Amino acid sequence: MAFIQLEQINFRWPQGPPLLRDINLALNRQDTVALVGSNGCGKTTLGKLIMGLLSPTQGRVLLDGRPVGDYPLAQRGERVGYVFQNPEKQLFAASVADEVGFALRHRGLNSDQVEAKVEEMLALFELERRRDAFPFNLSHGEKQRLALAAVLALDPEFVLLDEPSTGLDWLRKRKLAQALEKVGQRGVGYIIISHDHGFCRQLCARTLTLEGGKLYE
Amino acid sequence: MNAALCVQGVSVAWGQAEPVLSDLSFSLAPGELMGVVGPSGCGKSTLCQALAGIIPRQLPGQVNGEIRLLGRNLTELTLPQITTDLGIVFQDPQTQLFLPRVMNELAFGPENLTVPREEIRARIGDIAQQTGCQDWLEANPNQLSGGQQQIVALAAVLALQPRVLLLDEVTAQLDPHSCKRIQDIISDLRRQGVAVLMVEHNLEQLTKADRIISLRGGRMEVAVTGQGSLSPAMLARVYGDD
Amino acid sequence: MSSAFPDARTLIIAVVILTSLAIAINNPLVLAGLLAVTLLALVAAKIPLGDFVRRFKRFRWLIITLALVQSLTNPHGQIYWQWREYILLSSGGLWAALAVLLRLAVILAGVQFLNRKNYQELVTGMVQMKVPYELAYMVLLGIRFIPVFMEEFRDALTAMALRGVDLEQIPWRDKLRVYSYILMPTVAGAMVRARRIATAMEARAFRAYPQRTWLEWPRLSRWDWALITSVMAVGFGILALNWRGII
Repeated sequence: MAFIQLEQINFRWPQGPPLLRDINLALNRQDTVALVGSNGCGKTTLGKLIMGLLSPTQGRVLLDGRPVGDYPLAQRGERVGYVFQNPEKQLFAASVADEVGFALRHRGLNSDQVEAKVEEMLALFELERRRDAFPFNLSHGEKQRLALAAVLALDPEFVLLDEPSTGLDWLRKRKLAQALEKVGQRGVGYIIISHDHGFCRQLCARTLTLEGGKLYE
Repeated sequence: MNAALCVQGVSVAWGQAEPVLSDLSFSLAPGELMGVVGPSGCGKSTLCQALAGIIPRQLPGQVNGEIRLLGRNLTELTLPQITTDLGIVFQDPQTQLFLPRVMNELAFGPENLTVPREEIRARIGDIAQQTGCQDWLEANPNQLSGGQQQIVALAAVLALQPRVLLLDEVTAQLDPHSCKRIQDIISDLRRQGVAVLMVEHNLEQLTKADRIISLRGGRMEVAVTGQGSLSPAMLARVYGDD
Repeated sequence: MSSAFPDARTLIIAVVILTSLAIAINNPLVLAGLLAVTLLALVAAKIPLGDFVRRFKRFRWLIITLALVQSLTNPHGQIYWQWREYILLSSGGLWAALAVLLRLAVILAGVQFLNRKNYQELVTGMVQMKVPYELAYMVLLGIRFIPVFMEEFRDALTAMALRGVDLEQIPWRDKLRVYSYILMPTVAGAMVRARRIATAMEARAFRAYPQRTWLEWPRLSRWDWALITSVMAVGFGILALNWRGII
């Protein structure tokens, strides 16, 4: 059984036309997947369905064999990291280092363990020089990497990134791509939701296209 | 031919801090497309805000040097005078569209300039035709896709009939199809003599640019003249390191 | 010029009168009658009652709290529950609590009439009633973006839960501290958004002149005049009767 399984997913907004139709999808833990499609086709919506943040009109989403809704949000987030399209939505702390360690402290880890993990993530995402900076003062690319670092600090089994390359210049896209390659090398799979085919192509072994509400591989 | 936009020795600073932009000089002719590239935080958006008079009128910064819009000094122009001649479109359509129907968005600018009602209607018709949004006039902008919203945001600015258009990363959130539509509209505008300055991260959007300037460390250099693209060596120099 | 009945001004005047009546009147029987008439009028205007019910449900804890406070601070009549010298439940208190409940229900129901118009029409209506256009836009944009900020707050809560901080699981004493973390992205996001919208509006010449033209400038039809006159007459009539103690 796949790690994430979508079975006959149909979705429509209240009083809206069908957005997603008969979607079946199996994602394994180490898959690297690109989900592409035009603006407004439902990519972000599909991402939220995978995370259980939205419920399908029909069909079901399974996470490790159980309906995703059966997991409390906190457990879902620990197993599948979710990086929002706007990274500012998930920045809560007063410094970059605090941001990475934020959830770890709430998990009950002691300060040495938290510090070790924070250092590891800051090095992985090249944010050491910014460890004391206020997260909202970072550039967009740095915020993206910080959000990914904070999510990865929880050691999820899979990561979902929503439009991570939006607004990034050539160099920052390259840095993000390098960071994602490192994520893949750690055995953590990911699905990148994006309209940027060029960015995804280099990073993903599978490409799924969402068009007319249906999913094509 | 007189320049549509002329920038001479312009520096921009926020408060007492070091200038974000130093000693920029360039001019933009009617019908010309100039691209502006550079790493994040280099001041591209700040440049757009200064050229549109947003700094210092709305945002508390200092602009030194001279900016001439259609031959007139920007500091001597009133808000109506600036907005009649210069339009600016930003990256996020969600913070540019705030009215319940597309038609209301297109009418908003001309209404503010006390354009007579019949003329507003005529402009809406023309702009909708030009930008291809005639079928969405009664739609709620929130129900359009991101690409459609950005086209509406552009149309809403074009309703003011600007002679200079500043586009601040307008394609950042758009898929290739929507980017193509924006490019077609830009080509059309250039044929009408509108001067366009386009800030971009996505270099594919600048293949038709007459010139591309790069900003780095607040200073400017011309990266490409004529319709070319940035070489890998140039890219590395432009974007450098974090 | 267009004239779609009812005009935005008619609706605004009706809501103002209804709200004033709800505030001025303390008699629950009259308030109940007012609520019934309002709900009937909503049905006649084909405005779904579901929105009113949803809004009422959303504010139910606030309404119940206010009613309880009224009950505790208006102890008179027959006493149902007393502890030492404190009267906790009395017929007078219950009557006052019922009045508060019905008052808020009338106001929430009345505001639903404004759903007949989009906020551009409401702005135009307010300006036609001599409200400065800047103020009209400010008020209505503020209201228009309340759901957006609520959604950002919910997104921040979700993001926090996804990082393993589940608000339902953590102890009460830690909840406040965690909520304060949520303020950061929500407030920062709201401020950034507000600044960008203001910039975009001014870049399209907002407030360039003291006056502006309007694409649509509806006129009042005779039905509007009839409705305004009726509502005002009935409204002032009820107020007069209430003032004289007749109802």
